[in-house]
Amino acid sequence: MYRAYGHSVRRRATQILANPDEADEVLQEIFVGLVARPEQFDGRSAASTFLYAVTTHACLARLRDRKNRTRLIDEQLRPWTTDVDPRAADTAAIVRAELAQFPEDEARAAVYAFLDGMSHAEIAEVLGCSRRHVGNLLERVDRRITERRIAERKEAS
Amino acid sequence: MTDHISDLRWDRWLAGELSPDDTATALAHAEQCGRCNDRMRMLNNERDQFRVRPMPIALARARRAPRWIVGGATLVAAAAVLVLVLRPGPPPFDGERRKGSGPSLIVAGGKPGALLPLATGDVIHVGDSIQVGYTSDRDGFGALISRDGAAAVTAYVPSDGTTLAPLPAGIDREFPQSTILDTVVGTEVLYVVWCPTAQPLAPLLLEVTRGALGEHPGCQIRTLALEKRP
Repeated sequence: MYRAYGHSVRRRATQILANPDEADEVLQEIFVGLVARPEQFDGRSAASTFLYAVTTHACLARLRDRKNRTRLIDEQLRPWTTDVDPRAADTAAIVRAELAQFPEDEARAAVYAFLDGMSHAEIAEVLGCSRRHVGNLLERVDRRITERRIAERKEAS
Repeated sequence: MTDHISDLRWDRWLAGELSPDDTATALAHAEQCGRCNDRMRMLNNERDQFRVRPMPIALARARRAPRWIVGGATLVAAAAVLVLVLRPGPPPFDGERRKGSGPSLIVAGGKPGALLPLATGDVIHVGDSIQVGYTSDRDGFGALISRDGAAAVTAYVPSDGTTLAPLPAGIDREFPQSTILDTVVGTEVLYVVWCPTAQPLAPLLLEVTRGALGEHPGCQIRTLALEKRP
């Protein structure tokens, strides 16, 4: 499983955390956890879907760490590497910087939508909820991003 | 969010999870879309590169539940370290051949302080150092024999002497010598030998020169094929 799926776990952790070393730690944590508690993966979803969810959860937990939050705010954000939707590049940067501040469900939806470039249907599948709920979550995220942009403009002026 | 193929879909494709219809749809899209085509190729390459990376040592430890050797002075001084642990119980590495009974072998390597386990197919580098350790509940004798990319056969342990090195019973003990890998690149095959009685070394070296080590009654032999690069 590590050989088959580890690359995507590492890539996504790097994208979310913007730190390859931390991504390696997350990669290790996830698979060591799976060896210790294989029942985590019950086979009801595809392994890739399961690992997307687990990786997102692990990365968000790290981002909520105060040290990481400070680092992310202070550091210059790296450009989004997936480039699935270049129109959202600016949004992706804001999302990444603000992830730690979002409520858990919004943060997860934001990662999938703005960083992974997933469709609402795919997000609904990974989150295990309806597409309508995904839409609601992303609307809230949009509002937060808009508020952030307004605040930045005020600061700049 | 987008009409492009998401990474999730490509990851599913790479993992063989996509249905034939979904695969055909994704590949047809990629043929028409330069960005998705590039992304598909990039993820494919990324997966291939990841597969040859050594597995993190913590993961191998979790898989095999052994206790790893705490590096001694030779370990700390080495640029990179391979560790072989003899221990009953845990299963062998994927792709690793094992003959005979006795303590199990576990192979790991890495920079000092970050040992990485190695499995057949893993990459090692010129200048890496090899250190052998073991855990066994009975006294024995051991050797580490190499056949490098130029088909040269060398006894890393024992590096001198005519019989296998004595290995007193104990937990997380080290073989008596460590070795720095030379500059010959290519596939390097390591044979780890543990026997309950002293054995002459020469017949084992001759056997490896002629092909590979066969079974030796009462002994355990592990074979690990690694890719040595500059």
